[in-house]
Amino acid sequence: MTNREEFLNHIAARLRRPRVTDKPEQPVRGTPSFWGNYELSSSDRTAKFEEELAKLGVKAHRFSSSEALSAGLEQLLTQLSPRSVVSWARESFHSFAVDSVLDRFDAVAMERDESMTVMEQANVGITTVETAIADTGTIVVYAKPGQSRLVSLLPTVHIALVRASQIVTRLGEAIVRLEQEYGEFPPSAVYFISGPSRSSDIENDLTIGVHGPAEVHVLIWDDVVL
Amino acid sequence: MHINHRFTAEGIDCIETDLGEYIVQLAKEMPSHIIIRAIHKNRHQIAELFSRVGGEPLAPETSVLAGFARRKLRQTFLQADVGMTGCNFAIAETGSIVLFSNEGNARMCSTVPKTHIVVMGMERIIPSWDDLEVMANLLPRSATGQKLTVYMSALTGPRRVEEGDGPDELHVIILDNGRSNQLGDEEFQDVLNCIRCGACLNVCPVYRQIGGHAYGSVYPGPIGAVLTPLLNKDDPDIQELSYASSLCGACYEACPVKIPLHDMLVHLRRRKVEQGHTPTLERFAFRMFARTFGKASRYRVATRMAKGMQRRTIGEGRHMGILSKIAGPLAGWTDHRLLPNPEGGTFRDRWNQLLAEQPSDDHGKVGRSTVSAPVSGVHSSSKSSKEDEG
Repeated sequence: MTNREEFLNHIAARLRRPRVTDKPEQPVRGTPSFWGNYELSSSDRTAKFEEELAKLGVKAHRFSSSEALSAGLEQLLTQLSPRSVVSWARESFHSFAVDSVLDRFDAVAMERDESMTVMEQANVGITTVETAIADTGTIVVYAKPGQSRLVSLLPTVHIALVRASQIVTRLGEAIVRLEQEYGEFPPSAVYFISGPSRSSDIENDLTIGVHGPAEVHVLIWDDVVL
Repeated sequence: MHINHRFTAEGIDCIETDLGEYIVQLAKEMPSHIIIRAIHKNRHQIAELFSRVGGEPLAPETSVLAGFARRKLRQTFLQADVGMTGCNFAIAETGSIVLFSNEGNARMCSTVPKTHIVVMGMERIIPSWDDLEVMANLLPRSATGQKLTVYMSALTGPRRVEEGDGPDELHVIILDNGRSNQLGDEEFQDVLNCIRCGACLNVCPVYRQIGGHAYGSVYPGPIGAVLTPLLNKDDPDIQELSYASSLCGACYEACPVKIPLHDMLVHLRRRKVEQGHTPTLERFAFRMFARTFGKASRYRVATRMAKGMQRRTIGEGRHMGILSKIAGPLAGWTDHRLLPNPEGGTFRDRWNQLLAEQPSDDHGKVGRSTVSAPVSGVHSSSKSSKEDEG
């Protein structure tokens, strides 16, 4: 096994230059400007987001108020009639008035070292999102205390609650928001999720729900004041 | 790296979790494509394989087979002590590991087991999160035609205090394994730009005919024909791979990071010759070829001689007009095909006749300017072919 110094010295020697100890200059950073300038208006963003979700096979539901969203969530859960439900901690949902619905369906908030069996049994997982990306129909979730990674991964159905004001046009904007909030110390896990788990590994034939959720619902609350 | 064999030898169970890779592992085979690992197997073969493993008959339906793998592998994930993944990109500024996956197996491996080990090639590193946007736009589009894979996970360290789940330990192994030898080499350094999308495989006429297994390496297709010889410089047999190409350049056209793979294949062939890995007969043949084609008079004599030989052996009505077999070292070539009848004359023989057929209006002008020097025509065409190679 080569040690770190040897490894780095070898690279410098191959490139016929001394070891670089300062952060190197980066003449080109990020996407070209034509792409950076691509930005949709807020209503177009929501429409584009819904359009891309539909292409990915995600069921998008749009609501004009947080009360309507809460009723919509209740209706969806009644329809799914899950064996058990898991969710992020209640405070993650503070901007949505859905606590009573979560309570009614006994949504277990994943705490530290919650037994894996609870997770494994659950067939619905409910989360909020940090941002959503219109261009690719992507929801972005961070791992944080109270925001379990497994809730959006193990259950068969994932339900994500999104505020329209969280939708950005491009991936780059979601990254800028992350950088502004966290600087050089991003959360331990940032997941960009675009639709249900899929595979084409058997004869190039598409199949949904291989390891992750087979069904993704996105409930959008139109909180943008026009 | 053949890490599975080593694990098995040490008594450690190692189970592949990507659906295609799982199939290939159960069948004890090698992947045949960078992205669609089990593209060489059909539904029925997979159903047979899974039925044997599961001890129950399974229908050859994609959804049934995928469902079986999901159930089986879910148990594996919950019991595993260690999850191992590769790394699509690593971000230097924050020490983050970025994984792209559609099935979610990379997320499972990096979340459920207590320990997560990342094995990454040293060339996976990009400077910043801003650059991730560029790569995230390139990789899925070139690999599977998606705008973004279902999951793109950016992991920075193990789980933190107060976090509900995630691995307690994260280990990152940065692998050189011959890669750094490409650094500072003008002809080959660009091969380190490869993002492993597989676009070059899909467009390669050679790959499409012979399939991935023929390359005998983890990286098949044009990128494999370049990378495998470079990473195994001491193995003369592997250097043969640079001939698994028609040099059509379709790989370069499809490559999202514009690696000049067709140029590299020529460089590899040259190096192979320089290192003396070519057989004596081949070297002799090409020396004669160079001498003959290097001078117009020699070329003229050679074509006349060849024509005479053809007439004596193949040609003009004898042997039913077609020679079905060649003898000697070229016999393999005519085992399954017929040798065509020779044409009446060479292009050079017919040159003056072709000129006479030219209409005498503005086309004739073009004809006249070349008429004076048929020999220089040969010269200029050989020059342009040299430019193509360089």
